[in-house]
Amino acid sequence: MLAAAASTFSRMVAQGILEREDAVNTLMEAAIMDGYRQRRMDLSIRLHNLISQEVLWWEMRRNQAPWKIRKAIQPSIQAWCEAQTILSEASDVNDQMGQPLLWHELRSLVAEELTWALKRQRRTARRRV
Amino acid sequence: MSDAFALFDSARQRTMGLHVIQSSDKPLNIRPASLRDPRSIPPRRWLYGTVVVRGYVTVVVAPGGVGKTSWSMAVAASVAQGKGIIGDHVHTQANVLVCNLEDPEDEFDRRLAACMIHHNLDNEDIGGRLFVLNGRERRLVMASLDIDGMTIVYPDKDAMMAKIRAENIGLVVVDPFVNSHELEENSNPHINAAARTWAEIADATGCGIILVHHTRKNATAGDIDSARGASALIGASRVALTITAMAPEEAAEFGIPEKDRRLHIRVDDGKANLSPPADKARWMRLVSINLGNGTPEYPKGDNVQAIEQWEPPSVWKSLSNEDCNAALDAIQDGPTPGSKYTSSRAGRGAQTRWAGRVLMNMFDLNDAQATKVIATWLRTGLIEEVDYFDQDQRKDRKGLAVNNAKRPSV
Repeated sequence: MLAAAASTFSRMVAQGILEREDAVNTLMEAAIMDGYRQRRMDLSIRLHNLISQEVLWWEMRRNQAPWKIRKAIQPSIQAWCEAQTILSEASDVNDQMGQPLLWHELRSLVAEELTWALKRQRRTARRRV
Repeated sequence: MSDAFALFDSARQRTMGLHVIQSSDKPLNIRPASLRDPRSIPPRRWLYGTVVVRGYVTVVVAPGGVGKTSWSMAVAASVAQGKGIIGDHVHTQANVLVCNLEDPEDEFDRRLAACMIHHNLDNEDIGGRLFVLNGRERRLVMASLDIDGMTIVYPDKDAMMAKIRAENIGLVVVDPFVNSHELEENSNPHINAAARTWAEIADATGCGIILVHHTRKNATAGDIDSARGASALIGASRVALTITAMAPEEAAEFGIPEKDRRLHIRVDDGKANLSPPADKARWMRLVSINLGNGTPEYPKGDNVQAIEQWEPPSVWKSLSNEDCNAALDAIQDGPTPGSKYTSSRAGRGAQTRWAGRVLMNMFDLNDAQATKVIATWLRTGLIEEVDYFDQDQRKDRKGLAVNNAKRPSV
């Protein structure tokens, strides 16, 4: 129970929703109330480490997500799937990675890929002006 | 961002052959033709001669440097003034917008000034009624391709309609049409889209529109198929005119020296199947007007082209009935007693026996004019070819005899 709360709080810190100090303080109080017997300093260090670890993982996933998603939807774009299908496919990949990208970030990423695909396709000759 | 999704889907549908055209909200109706009384049908709202009609597009096709711009300038000035200056009737006075998409503003002003000087127009005649849109200041893009390279969009259509309504414009001159869009000129669907944009503007605002267009190389008078690029433009227009310089044969017929030939231009209806013969075509002449704008550096100032109506010299005007009868008498008598004139200029001795010589000697006509007169008389049966026995040559020959029953009355 406490581990799940710690993970959630760490995620919130990584996302910038919660201040690190607030998260540590809340978790420490919860641990003590839960009957956790350890020196406050040790507990604090362990929680800080936990949060740092989670932030690191989070940042890594955020870095990896865009190119993984781009790579995942490329076959669908080339097969001219519907735009909504491509978007839901991208969303699935994002979910599997623990939703590192926000919804609007995901949408703009897919839109960028679709625009590129439209621009890159062979077109009829245009009048030079 | 959602635009990217929509664009992708429409491109996808086109690529997969699933092009879906949004149908209109209005239901598709058919109804019996009204068969109303012809007198109750409103007449066509002609604006300028039988050239411009309100609510429709007129296309003028001409090669470069022939006088398209001068002609359209004269039409614009005529309509703005409410009085024709090059021979055509202006049915109603209207405000005019000239979309000058080729020349710089100064050049347009020079052209207009030359037109006004030559036709004695002043500011009161057309001031405040002639508007100009300069393509050099800002491009006019009535139709172009969207970023996807396939969809056609109409960026300036609504703005143009708003301006036409705001200034109560009755005639829009687009010079040249090719600069008013950014589509592929050889593609019928593309040109159709651009031309239909103008047609829809004409229809919605009730103004007449003249689209000035270039010809391809080697254009012929009255042949509208000599317009450059896709033919959908001609299909979308109500009236199509061609402007061509005088041909060498026509110059010979009218006795125009070669150096002046290109100053004479003819305006033909391109949608009629055949162009009329040269003496029945509408002729214009380009004249050079000095603007009197000399400066110390350029003391002579500018000579700028203007256009005026021109009446070709007619052979028939210079020949009275008495003249014709005298010539017919001479033809009847023959070159020598016992021989007759011939209609043909070919063969040995035909130079002296050709009937056209009579006309050339008597009335100082040139070759082409004399040929034309003889050909006309033969066609109408006034003179006819007969077989006779030539006393000089002592053999059967063909010669011309005059049908006295058809002689012009004196």
